Amino acid sequence: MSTDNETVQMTGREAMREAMRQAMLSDDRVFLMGEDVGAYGGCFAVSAGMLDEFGPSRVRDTPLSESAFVGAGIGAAMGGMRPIVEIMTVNFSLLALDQIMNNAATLRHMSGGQVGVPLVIRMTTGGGRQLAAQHSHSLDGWYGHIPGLKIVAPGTIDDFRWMLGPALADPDPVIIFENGGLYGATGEVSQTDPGFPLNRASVRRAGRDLSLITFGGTLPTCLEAADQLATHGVEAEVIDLRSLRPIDDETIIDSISRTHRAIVVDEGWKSVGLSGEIAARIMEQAFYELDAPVARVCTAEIPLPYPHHLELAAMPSVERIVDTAARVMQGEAVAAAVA
Amino acid sequence: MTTKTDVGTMFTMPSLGADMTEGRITEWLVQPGDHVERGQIVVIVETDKSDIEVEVFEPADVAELLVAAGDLVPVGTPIAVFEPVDPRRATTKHTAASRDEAPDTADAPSPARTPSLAPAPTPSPSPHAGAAAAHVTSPMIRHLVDELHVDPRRVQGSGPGGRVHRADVEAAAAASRRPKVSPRARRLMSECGIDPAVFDATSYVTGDDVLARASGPRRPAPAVCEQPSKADRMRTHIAELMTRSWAEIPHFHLAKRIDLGALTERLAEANEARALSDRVVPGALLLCAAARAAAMVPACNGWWVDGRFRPADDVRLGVVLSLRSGGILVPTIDRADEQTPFDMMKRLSELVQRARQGRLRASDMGEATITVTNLGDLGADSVAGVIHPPQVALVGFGAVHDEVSIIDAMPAIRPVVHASLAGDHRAIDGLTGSRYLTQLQSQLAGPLLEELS
Repeated sequence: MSTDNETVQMTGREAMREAMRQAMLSDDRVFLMGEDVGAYGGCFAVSAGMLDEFGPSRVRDTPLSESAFVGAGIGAAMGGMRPIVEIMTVNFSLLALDQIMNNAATLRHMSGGQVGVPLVIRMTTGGGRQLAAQHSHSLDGWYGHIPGLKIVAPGTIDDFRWMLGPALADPDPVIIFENGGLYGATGEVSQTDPGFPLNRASVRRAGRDLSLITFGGTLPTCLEAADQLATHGVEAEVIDLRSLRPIDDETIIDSISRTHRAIVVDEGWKSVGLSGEIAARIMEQAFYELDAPVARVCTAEIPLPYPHHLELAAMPSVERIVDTAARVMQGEAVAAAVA
Repeated sequence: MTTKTDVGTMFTMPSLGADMTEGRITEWLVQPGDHVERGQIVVIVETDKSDIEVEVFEPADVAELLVAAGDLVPVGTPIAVFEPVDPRRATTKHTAASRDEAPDTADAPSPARTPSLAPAPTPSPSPHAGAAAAHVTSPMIRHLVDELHVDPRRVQGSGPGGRVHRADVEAAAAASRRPKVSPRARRLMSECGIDPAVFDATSYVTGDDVLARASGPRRPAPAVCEQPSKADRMRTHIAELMTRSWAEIPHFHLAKRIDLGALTERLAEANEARALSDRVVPGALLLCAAARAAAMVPACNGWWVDGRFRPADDVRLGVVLSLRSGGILVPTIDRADEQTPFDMMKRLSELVQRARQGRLRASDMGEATITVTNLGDLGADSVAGVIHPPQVALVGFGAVHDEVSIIDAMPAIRPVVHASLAGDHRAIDGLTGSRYLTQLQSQLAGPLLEELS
């Protein structure tokens, strides 16, 4: 981020709204559609006021059929438009999975490069807001499995503001996972595009003893844990992956080659997930840089509970990260039991 | 490698391959005052490729060592002074008495040494174990030694006459327990040459602990330990040689499919009568055939030097051996065209064993006149090789495998091998190369077949 760039304070939802407004003002092909994005202003009030500003042809309320409106977005993108499709929460995207996986992700391949799908899908992800087991998923890693898609997850308010532009400019489908907990969070936002590449991870805090690798909603958790660790004399480096497909191996390996220890913090479940993928890449590329086994802090392997205290206990917390870091620093093998 | 002077015979750093320019003395196996017999290994020299055991060819007394172990010197540098002795006197004088501390080198010449290079499978007498000679190794003890990864020479028998009990093995295992070492620490130990034994067996060793031992201050520049590993140097060496070959030599490639039906049948019969350890693999026959064909077609057997071809007087066959750890070595077999299949098999087994131990001998590293690469049973069907300069030909064999052949106007399934020749077009032409492959084929069909009976 350039230093001569003035910043302003914004919330996550304001930053994303501003990103969409500017995209629509500067490019006629861009329009927004989804459930309740118009008259209601969006389920999380991200698009509040946009119907009045841009009218019903560019801010379109859709029927409650994810398969239909994601499919319509794919068609519009193939026809030359630059649609932003909002899916209310990630669990609803499962109803559109066939469109996303079998059409959006494959058409360039299936057409021998003749037809691309320049589509952006935004969806809300993550738990911690008492929305219970059916609306609190972190399926970012699932989508990261699929070739043909690009998956990004802003963890800072600045990325809420500035990731949409390069996502719309990409000739292929990009999914933006927006952690619901960050809509109300406040942060500094650059006033002009910092121009950071969409596919690169970012070191959010430098440190020499330990690398905390995370993204999205657990980035603030990791930064807070790093501050606590610093009071115990452990300087943790915090890496914000930003892009989950492709994964920026270079930044991860570079960090571990300096710190020699790593903890992956992922709000998804541990089994067969993104945290295992990151750990495997570290083992493949930097095994002989490691001074301790790679540890993971993930969400407990249960459907997220509704009671708030149980929900928070199931998710990665500052306390669990600090506790795990202490064991990694002692060189103890971190047991698989750290669920 | 020796030159006569007034004071005695200068023993010089040998050239262990055409491309070797310098060598490092890894270890002297003799001291001034020792007597050495013909064939005795006196020094181990490290080259870019391997540790090589260097023998002497005449009996002598060691007068003086001129270069210390660890030093790197150019080829031809005098490294020791030997006093020649009357061979008759030498054979009657037994010399082992003064060499207790290194019994290996006092052994008779080469062949007898080979077994002592292998890791001892059972407890054997050694200075480390007091009453080691009295070890009794029951199957249970041997199994335990194996299971606990204990060096049997370090087990002290506490029973009558040094008999080893179960508890003795367990005590030795506890004493030799090693500390937990992180992957990074293991790498740094290897790079810095630090023995894991210096660390407390109950500790957890990290990379920083190793660096602290290596140079004092914590977190020094990692560069202090970054020396190229042996594997890296071998890779560099192969890269240089192959780049030179590919850049300088105008290669052409020929291939011939050779039916091995009769030969494999005869080989199976011949092997049936032989002990498992004496059995001959098809690869040995292919080496015999390649060497004999080289003798028949001398235009393929020699070197391209200073713009013209110099034929070799006899056939010294280079044999490409792949190492499990990566990389290749190319030891040679002298007068390979004169070997019977059974001799060739024996020679090949010895070479493979020594190459894998990283202990090839100077006599294994002569200047090859032609080289063979045999991809073996698990290899590809055929190979278009790269010539080892300054040679002019490289012979390649793919895996022996079944193919459909036409026999008496009928299709038949036969074992075949695809033989190939990479030729240096400056020295030889396609016709010469074809003649070579045809000769190779007739050797496999005729003389070798008969020798197996």
